Amino acid sequence: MQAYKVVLSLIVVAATASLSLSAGLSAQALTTDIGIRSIGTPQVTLADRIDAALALPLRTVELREVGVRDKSIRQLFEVMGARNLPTAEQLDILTAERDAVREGKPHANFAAFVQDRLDAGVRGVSLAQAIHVERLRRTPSSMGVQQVAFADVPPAESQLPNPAHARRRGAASAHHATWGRRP
Amino acid sequence: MLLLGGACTSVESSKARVNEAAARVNDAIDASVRTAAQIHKAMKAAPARGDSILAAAHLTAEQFEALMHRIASDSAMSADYKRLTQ
Repeated sequence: MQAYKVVLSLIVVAATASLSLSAGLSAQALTTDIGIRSIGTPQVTLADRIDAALALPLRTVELREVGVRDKSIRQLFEVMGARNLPTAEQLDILTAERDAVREGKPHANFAAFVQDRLDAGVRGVSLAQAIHVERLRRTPSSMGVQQVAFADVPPAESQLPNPAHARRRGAASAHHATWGRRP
Repeated sequence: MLLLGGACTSVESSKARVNEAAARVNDAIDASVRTAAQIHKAMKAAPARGDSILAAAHLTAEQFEALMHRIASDSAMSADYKRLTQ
């Protein structure tokens, strides 16, 4: 009986270690995939901080060039400043939004979205991932993550097409516009 | 000959006007943006010497980050910063 308990606890320890490793690798793969540096880690050096700070104005210039309003940028800085986000993390958030706008998928209110995620306690790599996932979720042509995300979760009311437009276009095309695939 | 001399004078005066205008634009750039641009160039030249570069500018890391946030939030300042760093 004692030996059985020892074997059982060894299995539990091995399973936990395996899960932790795979979660770590997944996070690393995603951050590498979407070009986001490891942020919010304690190993941030002075050079990293200076580099991120030096890039901030260049990133906001890019945001303005792709059409983000000055007011929206100021609101975003207010949100991030109120939370004392590290500069590197702020740069990643600005970069994520720049990429979203460049891909034609701007957030309706990015500052509010970031504030919402921060209120929920999402920080660092997780926040960058949340922005990335949100971007994919709003991508009709992206079939991978979107299908998984939509498979079990019905879309919110606000994400459904306007009923009047749906009637005009026909139910099939409305479904296609919402779900990114034909019924 | 007179015509040629007049043309040369005209070109020189145009150049002078352009230089004056450039100087006025340069003067209008905020001193803090110039400082940030100088730090940018210094960091590009010697990335490992961040602390001494900031010290030479009489800035702590926190003050420098606050400065860069102020520049980034302002459309005119960030555009000037981009121009000076390119």
